[in-house]
Amino acid sequence: MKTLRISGIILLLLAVSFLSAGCFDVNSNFRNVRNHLLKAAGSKYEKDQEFALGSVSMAVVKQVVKSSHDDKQNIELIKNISGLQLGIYKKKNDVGKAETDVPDAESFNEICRMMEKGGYIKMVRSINKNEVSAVFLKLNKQQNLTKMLVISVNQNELVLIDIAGNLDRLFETALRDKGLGKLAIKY
Amino acid sequence: MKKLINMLMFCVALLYTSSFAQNADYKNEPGYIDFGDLSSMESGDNVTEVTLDEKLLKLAAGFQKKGHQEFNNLLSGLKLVKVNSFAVSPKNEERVYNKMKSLDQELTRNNWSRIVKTREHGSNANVYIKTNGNNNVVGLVVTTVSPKGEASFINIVGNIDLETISSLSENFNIPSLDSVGHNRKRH
Repeated sequence: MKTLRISGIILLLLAVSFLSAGCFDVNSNFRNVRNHLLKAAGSKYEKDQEFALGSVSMAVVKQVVKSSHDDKQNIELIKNISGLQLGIYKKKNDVGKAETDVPDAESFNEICRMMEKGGYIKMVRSINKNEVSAVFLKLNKQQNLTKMLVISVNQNELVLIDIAGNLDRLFETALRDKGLGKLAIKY
Repeated sequence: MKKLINMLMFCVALLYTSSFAQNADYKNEPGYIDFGDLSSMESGDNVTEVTLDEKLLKLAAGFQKKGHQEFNNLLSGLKLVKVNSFAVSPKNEERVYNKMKSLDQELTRNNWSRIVKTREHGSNANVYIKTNGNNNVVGLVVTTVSPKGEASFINIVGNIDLETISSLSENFNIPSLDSVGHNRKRH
């Protein structure tokens, strides 16, 4: 009975801390970018996955990764991430895949401009017939990389990733593994 | 009330100047060239835009510590790498050639030296360098265009070693930059 009560309290505390840290639900900035992208893509995508991990959830993830004896480099990378927002939106079933549904260049450039107005630095922007993608960064006053936002839209899915934390190492790794030309496209 | 308005105005002015200070770093460099709004010229396909400022270049240099001293030295002297490339179609062809021509005039007027000029089956490629008083290269501009192919506008700012600059292309997978070393070898 005592164990049950303790478990209940822990669960309650976890739930409160998750909610108070803004976990699971993406923030208004993320929603704003998502809405613009979905609109520019002709509203032909629907939510497949969308979640946010705040500092508390990330602490849990870090513990799980640590105990899983994962690659040291991966542990180091995750250690420096304080927040993650991810949205994956799949093409609606009733929409034919032959159509070109990715946002057109003009709409996509408009979204890029909106991001830059919001203080992001546009590092990579790539537009092709069937795929558009971009990588945006934010630096703090000490010139450390603190935010990275990746947009990738193709004929099958629309992916939006927002990562916060001390991202210098993550950036180095991404650059080393992908190179700049592929960075945006292959995310 | 007047004091409050003055304080508000001071804060706004401070915010305004600080928000532009970050970008102004490389814009004041003698090797920097503003290509203007190239997005209006893009035909909506094969568009790639990459912008790496000093901070990001230093981060990128971080992963090259072992065994790539030459490349590391190259990166540490750079302040900006900016690449714009996009497809050329009959729709934008004339404007792209005009842009190249106006850039050529602007660069030569501002004491840039054209070290490469090629004309081959309608394809044009120009490479310009800007040197300081000590004859060190502090700016590099590459413009290439081929009909029904691709147009590229590249600006590299900082202390540039022309012998090793093409390694940027190999290491970062930056499209079009390999043409610098290639064109140089041919001339």
